[in-house]
Amino acid sequence: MKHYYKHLSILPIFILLAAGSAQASTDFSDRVKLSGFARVVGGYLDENSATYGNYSNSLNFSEQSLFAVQADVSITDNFGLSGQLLAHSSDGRESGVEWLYLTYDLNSNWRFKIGKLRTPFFRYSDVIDVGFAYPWITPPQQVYGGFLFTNYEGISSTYSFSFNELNFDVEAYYGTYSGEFSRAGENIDIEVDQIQGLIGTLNRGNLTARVSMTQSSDFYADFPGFNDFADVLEGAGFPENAESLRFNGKATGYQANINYDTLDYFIAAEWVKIKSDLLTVPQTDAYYLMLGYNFAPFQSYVTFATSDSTYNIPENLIPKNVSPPLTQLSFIYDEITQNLPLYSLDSLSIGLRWELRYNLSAKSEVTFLSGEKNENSFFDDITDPNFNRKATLYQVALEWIF
Amino acid sequence: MKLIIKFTVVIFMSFTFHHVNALSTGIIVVANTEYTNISVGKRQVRDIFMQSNSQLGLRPVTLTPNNQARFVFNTKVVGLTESRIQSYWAQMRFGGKKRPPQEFETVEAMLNYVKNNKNTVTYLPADIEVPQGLTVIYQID
Repeated sequence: MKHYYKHLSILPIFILLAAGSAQASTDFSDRVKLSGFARVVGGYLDENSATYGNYSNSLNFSEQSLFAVQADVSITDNFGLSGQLLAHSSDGRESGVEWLYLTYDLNSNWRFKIGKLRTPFFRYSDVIDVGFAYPWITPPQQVYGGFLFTNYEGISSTYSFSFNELNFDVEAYYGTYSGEFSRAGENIDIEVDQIQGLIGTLNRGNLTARVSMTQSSDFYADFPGFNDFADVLEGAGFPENAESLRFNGKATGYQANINYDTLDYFIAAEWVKIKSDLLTVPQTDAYYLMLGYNFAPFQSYVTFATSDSTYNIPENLIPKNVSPPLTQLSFIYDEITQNLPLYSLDSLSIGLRWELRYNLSAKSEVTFLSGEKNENSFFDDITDPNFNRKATLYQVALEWIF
Repeated sequence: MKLIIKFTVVIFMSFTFHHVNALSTGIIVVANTEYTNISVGKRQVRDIFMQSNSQLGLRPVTLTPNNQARFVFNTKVVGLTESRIQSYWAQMRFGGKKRPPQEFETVEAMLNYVKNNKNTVTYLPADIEVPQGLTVIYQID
């Protein structure tokens, strides 16, 4: 199953070659549409004992800046091929083919996509790199902080229909993922053999609502030593604790949001809940509320966001007072499970966006962060244990689409 | 200080002036269709251009953003700023969903296209004469 899906991304390349040779002489520019987006983003965190989103107390422009080109090739009226190449300034993001997929429009209601696709977990997940598409410079990390992964290889089908003045879209997707996962400063190889989700979107005029569910299961994660330690625990007679260290569980995400826009103001609210049996994915509850005001050519907004997380780990049943080996196992288990990163964070962002041109805008954003002491709260590289998890992030950005 | 005040007033007036000038134009929505008796409501027009799905089977085409008529259409019919509409199409385009309607630089070029392509629909400033063969399906002052 895993290997079959891995080859899906090669399929569109063959089709492109076939289409190219068949269409060599015809109107290339009608069939191929090039577009793209770019961002230059600078950030500064007024804190010297931690980083946030890799921003620290020196201005940094190479964390979120990027450039991408998308090609949409119309092979026939119903078949198309899309590919997106992305160059990213951050070391933590690989540059290259961000997605590559074949589209089949069966009719005006049904659309199918197959290939390497962007994961559409939350409202802005699939356009998270297109800063121009949303008001913030950095979308609320409590929701978009990336507990899950950005791409998958598989298929997606969307059914669109309208009834009276209501427009509905229902999307179902299924696929796999293999890549690297960054957690508290470490890179871990991870494979997920089953990702599936269902998304329902409803639109009426300038009001849009979306609800979705996504589930990832059948994981393989290369956590050094975990499987070995799990074997030891199982051998010692503690299967429940052993199982919690293996990746046989699943992570399920639930999401709901509404957006309402008018000429003068806009509001948005999104809520996300992640349930998980896995050590790499904490159970999370997060939401944000945004209020914005338009006064051309400016747009201003205020966003409040909050998150809370826990881990679904069984009680440590390994006794500490029976024998030295068991005591040691018990302490090791505690060491692993009591030091997992936690993500409670409240934040308030205030931002201003200036439309320089219809496809170019400048943004500035200030985010007041207030986390929980003794948790990571989305901060990294914490050098002072007494750091109160409060800091302010200043950002500026230029967003361009073409 | 006086210079700063004057400068601020001029800038402010240039925004308001543009706004007032724009609202003094009406919009008519015309289609190249064999059904000459169609009449639609504002929300249906909005859906034709924003959802690119029309239960009437009409394909929308629009003007480029530097056109006055587009600004009036956005304000009066869609009810969104150009910036918000651009963000919306960026979400659609780069999210692998709908593509925005084809755009034309001038009203003349757009009308020419609509006249020569069946089942297309577009919007015009209300003071433009509607060519023969096109049906007015909606208008707003």
